[in-house]
Amino acid sequence: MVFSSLFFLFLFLPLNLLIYYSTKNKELRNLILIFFSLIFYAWGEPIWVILLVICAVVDYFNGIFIYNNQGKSIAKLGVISTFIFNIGLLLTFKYSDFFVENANFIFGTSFKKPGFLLPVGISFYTFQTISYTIDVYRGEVKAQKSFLKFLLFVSLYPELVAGPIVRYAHVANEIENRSFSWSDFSTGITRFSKGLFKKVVIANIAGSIAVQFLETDIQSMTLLGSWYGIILYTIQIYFDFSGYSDMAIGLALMFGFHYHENFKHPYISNSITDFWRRWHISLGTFFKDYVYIPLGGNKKYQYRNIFIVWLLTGFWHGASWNFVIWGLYFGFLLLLEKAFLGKILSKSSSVIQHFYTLFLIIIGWALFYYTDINKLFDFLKILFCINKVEIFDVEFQSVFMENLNWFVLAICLCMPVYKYFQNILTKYAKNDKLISSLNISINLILFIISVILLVGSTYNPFIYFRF
Amino acid sequence: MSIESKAIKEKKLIFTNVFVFLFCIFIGGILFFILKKDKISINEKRKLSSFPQINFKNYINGSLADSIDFYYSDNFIYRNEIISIADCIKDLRGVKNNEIKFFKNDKGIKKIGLENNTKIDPSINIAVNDSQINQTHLESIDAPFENIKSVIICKKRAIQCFKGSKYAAKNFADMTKFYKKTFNNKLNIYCLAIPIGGDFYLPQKLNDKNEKEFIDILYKDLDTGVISVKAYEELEKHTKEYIQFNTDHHWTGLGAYYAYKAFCSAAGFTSQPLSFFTKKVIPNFLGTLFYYTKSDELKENIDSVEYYKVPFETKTYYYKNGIDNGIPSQLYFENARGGNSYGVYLGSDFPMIRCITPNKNGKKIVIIKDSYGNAFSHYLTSHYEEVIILDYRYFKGNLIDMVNKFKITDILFAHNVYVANSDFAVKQELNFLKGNAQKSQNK
Repeated sequence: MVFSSLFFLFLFLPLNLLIYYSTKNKELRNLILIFFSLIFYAWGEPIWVILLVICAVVDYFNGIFIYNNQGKSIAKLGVISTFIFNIGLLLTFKYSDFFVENANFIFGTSFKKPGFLLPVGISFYTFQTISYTIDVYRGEVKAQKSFLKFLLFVSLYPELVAGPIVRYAHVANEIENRSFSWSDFSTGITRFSKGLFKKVVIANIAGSIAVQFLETDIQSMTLLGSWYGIILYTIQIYFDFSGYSDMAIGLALMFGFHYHENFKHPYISNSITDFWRRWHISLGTFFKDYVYIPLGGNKKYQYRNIFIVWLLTGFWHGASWNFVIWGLYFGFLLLLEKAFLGKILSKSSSVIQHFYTLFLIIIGWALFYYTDINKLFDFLKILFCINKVEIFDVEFQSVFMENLNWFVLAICLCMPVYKYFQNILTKYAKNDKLISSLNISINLILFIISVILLVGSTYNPFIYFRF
Repeated sequence: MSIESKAIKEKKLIFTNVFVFLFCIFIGGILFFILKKDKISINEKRKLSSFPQINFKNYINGSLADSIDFYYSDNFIYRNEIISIADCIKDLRGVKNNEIKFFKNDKGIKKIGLENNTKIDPSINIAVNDSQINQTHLESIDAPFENIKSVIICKKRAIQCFKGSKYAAKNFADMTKFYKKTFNNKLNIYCLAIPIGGDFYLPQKLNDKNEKEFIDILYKDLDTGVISVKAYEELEKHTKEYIQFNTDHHWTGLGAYYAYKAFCSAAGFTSQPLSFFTKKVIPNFLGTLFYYTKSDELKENIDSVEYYKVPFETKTYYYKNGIDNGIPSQLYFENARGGNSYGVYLGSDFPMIRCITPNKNGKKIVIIKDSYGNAFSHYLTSHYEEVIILDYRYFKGNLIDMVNKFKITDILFAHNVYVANSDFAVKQELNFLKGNAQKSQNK
């Protein structure tokens, strides 16, 4: 099920809220949330919900085992078991086809690809449970004694299928004892409406136009059309993913959970290093805490550690060489910035910093978009004028003009304009009531516009569902 | 204002925010169950989905959930009205070009030519009632839109913009050459490349004779023994007449007639005047490009299917598999209506149709065609003893066997420029000579 579906908005969510808030019993509320979370997951994946529950069982017992043997070397067995199980799941369901295909290519064998369907959200919930057992092992959190509460952590539907990767430590207290606040609920609604708007009004439209320019035959592409297409994809992927994170954070707030931020206006970054502090923060901190620092961080073999982290980051996004190239591309850029580029950049003007960063980010999304390496290189050749094509055609002109207002809006929303206007209003408007009423009206308008555009629309994919 | 009263006011606004949101989602949810649901969408001219059957199989494979989502979305409260508002919001996206609009398939563009989707099963007697949207019509619009490339709406007419590879022309020409050689030059081989209207109805800045350029290259590459049919030039003289539909990707019966005239001059026949045929009209035809673009302005330029019947009886058979066991059929399916109206010609894209005419001149022709050939083929019954029509996508028999069995004298390749530009068509038609052609899939 997806948040941006009418079925979710007008049936699942109201029913969930109604039943959840019809009782004050905390245990019962947890049970209700687990029930709805499993329904949410099983909606399109009835078989894989079993895998999710098995994953929760295994890591629940591993957590207890580690906790009971805290300080003893045997506790490591729990961590190893978690690793083998979760990474095993990922290797089987996500990467087996890739490995078989490459083995066949390299060794000339003809093993049949297993052809597993990727269970939705597997990359997210396996990482959440891995982080839990490691945190228990490190003594940073206590093991959860109640299986139901642990299952709630693993299956909680706001973040279940497309993140953010929620750390147990962030929600441990709220699983045990969370309190209701009207203010949180209201903030959650605001956040959810914003996320829905980002997804439906910006990401979906960007995606539907981008595909016209990126999926066409290479021979029919034009220079400006190709740049326009990849910029639209840049817009789509940000609003799609951050919109989902906003909706997840908003929904969680409605049920009393406080998630950490996952995006902080990444396209206003002034360097690639800065970009990765603002983009998919929960994944970045996961790799930092559980891979980069244990490998030695910046104290020992820093370059090697960066290489490993970015190889894994790329590979986490998908079982295809283009994702590996994409990860290593950013790893390489980060190394350059650490080595010397960062210093040069810091001395240059902010226009150059932003241009440099955005340019490299956009090229990065081209690497990310094309899973077919040949098509990727053909496309890059067009972007960099190596393959000569028309500069633009009437089709580009027409589509560009037809979406000009929307395009300007999308670009503006990449920047913290909402906060900016909020500050201006607070500063100059004398009437607080007016500001709050305006906020409520904006929420309502965002929600209603999103619903209107959802009705009768068919283009509604979530990019991060495939990871 | 005291801090306390400020806090109370803030609390009130928080309540309002929560109340407004909850009101929307709860009322929306409740009204869904209370309000009566339409069964069809008049605007979209399609049947709205009904609640799916619940069983274990569709639950496990996930299709039940998809169907319920679809059902919910299709039957959402005030759906038609909301879609109209959505269209107004979409208009705010930028500066609209009122003369030209581009449409592309959201799902991506596939590399095959056009397909006909105007199938009518001869066994189905379609209820003729123009004032209603009949069930068969709605269900038959299964729209293989993924095969349609970019469509441009210009002056209330939907036209496809041809962007083919010039190199593909040589492959097609080589294929016809191979036919000539296979039959030891004993058969007359004709090649008719059909323009699809872009050259005639799109502004030059969008389409600078793309189709003509391709046809010229193709005809230049043809073997001297393969006779080209100059239909383009003949059609070009009549572009102000009703030769191409406004809302469909096909040509009209009149357009096909002018191509027939061109064929006659290539073959050395005297063509029948238009008055020889009996003109009939099926009104209110909104074709494939309307359903593809869903553009309201096309409704202001609605088509009618004008067809010209040959004034004599023929014996027509269609063949599902191979070249044996013909099933009695008709040359015209005059009960075709609505979105199926183009199906008046031959009824559908059957793999093979054999039409025996009253002529006794020993001339027998095989027409290898796409859906454009449907409107064209019947004219040839005036000149041949038998006209055998093969659809390049669905025919699976052996053409050499057929030529020998039916004593064929002529072969005509009648394809629109997209199909003549397609590797699949070339491959498929070469396979006819081996008898191992594959049934069409969206490649």
